[in-house]
Amino acid sequence: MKFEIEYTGVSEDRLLVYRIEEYSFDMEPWIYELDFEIAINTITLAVVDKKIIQLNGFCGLNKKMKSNFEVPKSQKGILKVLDDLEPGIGSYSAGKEDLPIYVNTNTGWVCIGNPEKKGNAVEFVNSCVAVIDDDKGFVSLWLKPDRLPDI
Amino acid sequence: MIYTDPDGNFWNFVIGGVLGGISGWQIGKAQGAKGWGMFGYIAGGAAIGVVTAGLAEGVAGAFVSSNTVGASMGAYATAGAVAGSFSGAGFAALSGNTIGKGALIGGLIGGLGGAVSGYLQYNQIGVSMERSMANRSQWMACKDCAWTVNKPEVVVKRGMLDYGSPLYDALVAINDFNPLAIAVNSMYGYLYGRDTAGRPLSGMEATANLLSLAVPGGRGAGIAAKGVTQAEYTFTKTAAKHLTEVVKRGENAGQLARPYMNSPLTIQEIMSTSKGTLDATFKGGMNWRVPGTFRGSQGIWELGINPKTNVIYHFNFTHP
Repeated sequence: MKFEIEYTGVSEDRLLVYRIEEYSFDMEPWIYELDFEIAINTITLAVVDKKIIQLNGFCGLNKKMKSNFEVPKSQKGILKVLDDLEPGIGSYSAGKEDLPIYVNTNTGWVCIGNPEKKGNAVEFVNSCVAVIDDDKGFVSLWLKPDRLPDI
Repeated sequence: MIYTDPDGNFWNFVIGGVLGGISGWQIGKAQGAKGWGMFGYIAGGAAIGVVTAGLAEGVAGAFVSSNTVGASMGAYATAGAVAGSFSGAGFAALSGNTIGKGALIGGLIGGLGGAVSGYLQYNQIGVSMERSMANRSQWMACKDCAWTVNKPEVVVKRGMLDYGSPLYDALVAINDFNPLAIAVNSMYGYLYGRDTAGRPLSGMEATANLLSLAVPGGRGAGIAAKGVTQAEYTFTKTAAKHLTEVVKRGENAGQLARPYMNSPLTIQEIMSTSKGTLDATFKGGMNWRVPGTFRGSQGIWELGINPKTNVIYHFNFTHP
């Protein structure tokens, strides 16, 4: 799956939350229409007109995931999906396998994917940063919800 | 030598004995028996129950490869008729009634119930085995799914006579009154938390169903009790957002993006493929990943649920 970043200085205006009792990321407000979804582990990213506009999904966090990785520097913009994917037949996985999860309890950022691999970073939704490599491939997703559980 | 019982056949004899003993007690009570006399009725009933279970097991087992619906119905009907005849004759003798009449009625009821059981067994097991064979190469190629078993296909749309269709469900409902099926389903409920059709069945419900056999009119109460405690699935707030999402464009424009979230049967089918794997964080959570199709597209069903509370925290169909 290929992605493209368009830096616009503006990102989707949503509030990213972590529902501790549900072990899941969620956001408000929520749009109930979409073309298709991209799946990263059990989190799904909704795509409308090629743009990723929101995300939510189950994502259990535990102390084994604790780390000190820092979120890469990013700019606000649009994260686009380049593939022509058929809508309405399910979600499309961004990776072939489940990606590792890292939690930095000091900064409040959660990383899903490879935290060390460099790439171009875009904040496509408030507090949601994606890193895309030079081959337009997905590297990592960084999320900073309003709060994190004690792990 | 150690005897193993991988199919759990032993429990059929135990259940047969217990149910027979209860029936014997009922007859003894009606006859005014007490003390050793009552013990004789109970022991006689238990013996009839054990032998009946053995006959049903033996005759059904003689038809090893019932790979068509007719063969499956025939095998189970024959088993039911033989076991029903013996049971009917035995209990008629115990209660002082005409043995021939008891055998005839028992045989008819047993044969009819057996035919229904054969149909249900074929649809649940036989068809999934055929599908498994048909999809074996695909399964073997899918290393991520190598641990899944039995049901490679989980489909949303079904024909009139397919597993999960209204007619199939009606036959399952009829079988709710078949004592042999009640006993076997209760055993499944105790062991696996669901009946042979994959419907959730708690130990409490199984006990209620078994007890209802011993009480005149109790089966209706048992069904009613089951209705009250029939599992309903609830979703976490996060997962629930996907219940009403609509596809904006393409062939499925205007359709729900995840219509399967409203299908308890799909959930049950996914859960019936294996025991699932324990989730590392969600309390009591179990996860399933099962190959299947959705809107004609091959993919993986992903389900995360707490089977005790029936709270679903993740339900998606993904393309790897």
